[in-house]
Amino acid sequence: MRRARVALAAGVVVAAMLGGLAPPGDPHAIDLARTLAPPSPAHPLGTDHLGRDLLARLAAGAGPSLLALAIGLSATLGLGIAAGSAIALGPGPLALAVRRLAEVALAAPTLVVALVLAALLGAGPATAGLALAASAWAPYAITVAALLERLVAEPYWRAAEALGLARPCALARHLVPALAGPVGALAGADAARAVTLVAALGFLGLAADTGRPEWGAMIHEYRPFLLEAPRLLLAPLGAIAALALAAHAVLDPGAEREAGRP
Amino acid sequence: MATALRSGAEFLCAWLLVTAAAFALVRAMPGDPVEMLLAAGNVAPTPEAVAALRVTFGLDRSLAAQFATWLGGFLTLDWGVSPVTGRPILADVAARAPWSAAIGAGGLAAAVAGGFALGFAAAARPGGLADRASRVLAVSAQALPAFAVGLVLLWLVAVEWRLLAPLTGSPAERLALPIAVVALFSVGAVARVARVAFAEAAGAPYMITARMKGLSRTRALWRHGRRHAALTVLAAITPEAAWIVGGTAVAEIVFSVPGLSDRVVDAVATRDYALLQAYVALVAFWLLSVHAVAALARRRLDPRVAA
Amino acid sequence: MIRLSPTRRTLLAIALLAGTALVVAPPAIAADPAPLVVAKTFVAESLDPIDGSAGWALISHGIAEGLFTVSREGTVVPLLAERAERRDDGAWIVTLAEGRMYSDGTPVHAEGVAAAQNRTGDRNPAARASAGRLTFTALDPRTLLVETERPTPILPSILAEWAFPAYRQTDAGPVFTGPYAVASFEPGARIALEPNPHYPGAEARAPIDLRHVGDGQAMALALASGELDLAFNLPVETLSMLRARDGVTVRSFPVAYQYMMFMNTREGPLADVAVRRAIDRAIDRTTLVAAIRAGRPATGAFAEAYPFAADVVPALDPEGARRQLEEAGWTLGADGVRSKDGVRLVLDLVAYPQRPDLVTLQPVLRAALAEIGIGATTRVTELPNEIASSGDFDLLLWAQHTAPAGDPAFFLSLFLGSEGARNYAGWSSGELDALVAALASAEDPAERIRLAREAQAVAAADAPVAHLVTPEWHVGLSGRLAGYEPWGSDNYVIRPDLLPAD
Repeated sequence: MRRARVALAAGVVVAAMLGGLAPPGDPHAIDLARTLAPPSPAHPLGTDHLGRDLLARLAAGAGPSLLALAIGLSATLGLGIAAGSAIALGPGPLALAVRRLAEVALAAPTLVVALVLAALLGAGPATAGLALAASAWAPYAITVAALLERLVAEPYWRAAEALGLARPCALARHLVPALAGPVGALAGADAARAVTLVAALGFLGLAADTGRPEWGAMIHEYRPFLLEAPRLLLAPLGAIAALALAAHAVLDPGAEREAGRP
Repeated sequence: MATALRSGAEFLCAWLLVTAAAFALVRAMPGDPVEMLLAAGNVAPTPEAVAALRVTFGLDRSLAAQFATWLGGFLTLDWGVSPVTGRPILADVAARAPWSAAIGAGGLAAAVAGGFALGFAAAARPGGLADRASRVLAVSAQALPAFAVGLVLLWLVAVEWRLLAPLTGSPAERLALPIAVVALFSVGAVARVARVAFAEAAGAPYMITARMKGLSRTRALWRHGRRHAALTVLAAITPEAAWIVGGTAVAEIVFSVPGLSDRVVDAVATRDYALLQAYVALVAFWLLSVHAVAALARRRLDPRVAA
Repeated sequence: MIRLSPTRRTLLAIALLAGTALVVAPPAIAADPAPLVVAKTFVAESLDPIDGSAGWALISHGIAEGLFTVSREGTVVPLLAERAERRDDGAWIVTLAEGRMYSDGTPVHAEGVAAAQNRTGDRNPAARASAGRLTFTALDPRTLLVETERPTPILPSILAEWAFPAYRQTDAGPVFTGPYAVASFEPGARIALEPNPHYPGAEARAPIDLRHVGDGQAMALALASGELDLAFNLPVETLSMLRARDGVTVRSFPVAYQYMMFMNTREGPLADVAVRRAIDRAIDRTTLVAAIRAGRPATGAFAEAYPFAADVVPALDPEGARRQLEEAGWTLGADGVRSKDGVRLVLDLVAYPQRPDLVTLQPVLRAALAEIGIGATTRVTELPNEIASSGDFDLLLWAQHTAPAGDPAFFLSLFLGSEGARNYAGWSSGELDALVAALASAEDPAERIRLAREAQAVAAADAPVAHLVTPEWHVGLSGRLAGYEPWGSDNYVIRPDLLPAD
């Protein structure tokens, strides 16, 4: 089961990269004589409202969407882990300040943060990733801090310190493996939110540039066709769902193992 | 008593920080509300016209002075007048906030109640139907956009089945679908958290004792696991509440509910600082309250949780 | 199809809410027996004409009326006024129509109108946009003297703008003269309207429940589910679904919001008139209409319904456009993009999402430009006004009501005049300025039409702006309102002739 998921994840990423490098057609080629055409050999997923090939657009959008995911994930994790470590291991005043900051960040309205960031930086994959990180780092920081505090109290940590192992080295040896599971579980549940956030921003009036196809922006662009040609929406939705599943499988393998626990 | 005082002070500090940060951030957005307002009325933004309006709205003073004025006004319930709509902010918010609060609080309550039950069922039978369902819900919540789910729901419930009149019906009819959509996007996450907590409890030594006393696995899990699960879910509730604020906005627009978020989206577009500021202050208050209540409840449930 | 009674639906809804104990019930409004339910994408946020564009919403909702209005044919006609005459000193004498009343039964007299108009003029900058501050003085109960800060030959047109609704200020707020009066008001969300008993034909009218529905899809679904009698306005993508449903009528009508593309003439390749002309000739307007699936190819700055509309859009001629670029020294490179003196002909094409059609047009225009060897990068901005006035664009897609009060000078002077406040193209033409100046003082209607057409031709020859499409909007109607004919863009939606079939 787990291997199947990892394979799926790898498949999604490889397909996305292949699509980005060697697109199966021109994502910008307009053909107003063949709008909203159903799937056919020439257009495996059919065409959109401007007669553009849906598969080509999906493939061209893979890169930016993965970028949103990567930015969102690495920024969230980076901020969260750094802040969490500061809370658990840093000197008293710093720890307290960061903890309070994290608690304050928990109370920052995601919507306004995202809207303001989009207004500042322009709506797009990178913005969505950053907006996600800006509002999502706090729970990670608090989780990481709690885990670290528990670990630091463990005998082996004190033993390591007594043995004179340098702190960073000991951190890497003991703490990183211990953190990977729980933090991965959190990240697995959040990863694809960065991609859909682009669509949500668009829905709230901040459209991304349709000149560069991207899955979240496609959802927004094809939104009016939900009832007329649901295929247009299902394509990017399916791609994002596959990405979400893949992220979940890679980042949260523990979920499977745990489920089988008595 | 001292603890209560300290919590109160911390609450206030956090709220001040969020509102001050929002105050600066909102004003850092590109786009001048005064010029936008003039453009909307087809008036040329001459320097004199712009300067005059700036003075009218108090935008000519320093940021700190503006914040101090705003804070004083906010605390004395003098929330000012929106430069865009010309209406008092307090009246606008008072008319709309109940709808948003109903959707947000209702959605959160439904998600927590539903997620807790689903998480318990999932832990009681690992790999069973509930376990799978909660996983599907958790993954689809991040992959599916809320507006699409909302529109499909609207199509089915209002057009095909005609069960509800979501636009012209009673307030309960109008709120049912938005609450359902908001809850749907959080129930999976809550269920996963609850499931993990129940599973932890299932491995604890006292469970073995309970089983030996002849309790069924399910009953033992409920009797001895629910406190631990409740504690864990309470700890995870604040981020969920933060997500719900965003979900409420989308639900309000899809279901045409005259709530606050609907106005906030307009306010971002028109740079209606006065309304945005009141909104952020209220949302921060609500999230910090959820956080505080959850912390209080955890302390009540588990004396080991430190202040 | 299952039809549940309202009580059962409510019970069901309450059952659905059972798990959510924290519901705060908002105040409900008592419903009239059979109101017409009207949904619009914008509902008034204020009932006071001094606030922003409240006047526009009030007139559009059938609550307020001005002294003059724009007819279905696009001409300015008296409404609360009977006539207006210009005195030799440039001031105007406006005579009020007889027997008009506010919705509270008080008669309309000059003194009250003057007080209200002066109040609006003092407090709302939109009322000072066209001719500066207008000063109203009552000469007798039916006669007003109107002095304008800047002289104008077309005061009736200005008074037909939305900034000048007539009202009477009372302790409970302003009272208006329109066919409907406000029964209850939730700002920006909902207005309950009842027929104004003092407006002719009140007995034939039904109460109206006016609702804000922000999302077009949601509006279409509400119409399909039978909750709405009038849906204003619907996205084109929902029309096929709605046309297939019984009891729903969809009407499309041309609006005066013209779609156009400003070309930044200040610098870069677009400072070259040959490039601008070539672009104008390379655009196939019928393709644009096909892409947005509604509307008509634009023929000039104004929708065809206006008497001063012109036929100045060049015929589609990509071959001629290529030749013109070639002759101007823009030679085709190996990558299919032209260049001249080392400058590549790649343009920044900007649209804004507030008008979704413009975003749809972007890729189509990019393809048309590629045909003649012009590259384009597309950009979407949330702040069109900022981009437009800063000139941070090469090509800017724009939607504009070009004659909101039936006056062609509005667009020609504001957008094309050298000193125009919204001269986004940064274009300057002495010839056009002279024509606009002549228009500002011409009083004869035929002469005004001639001048407006000549000005459009002058602009077309230099192409600071490409006129693209006169769009159509779509209105959905239930059986009760199947006879409703939409016109006048979104300026006059609820009108005296909005009558239920029953």
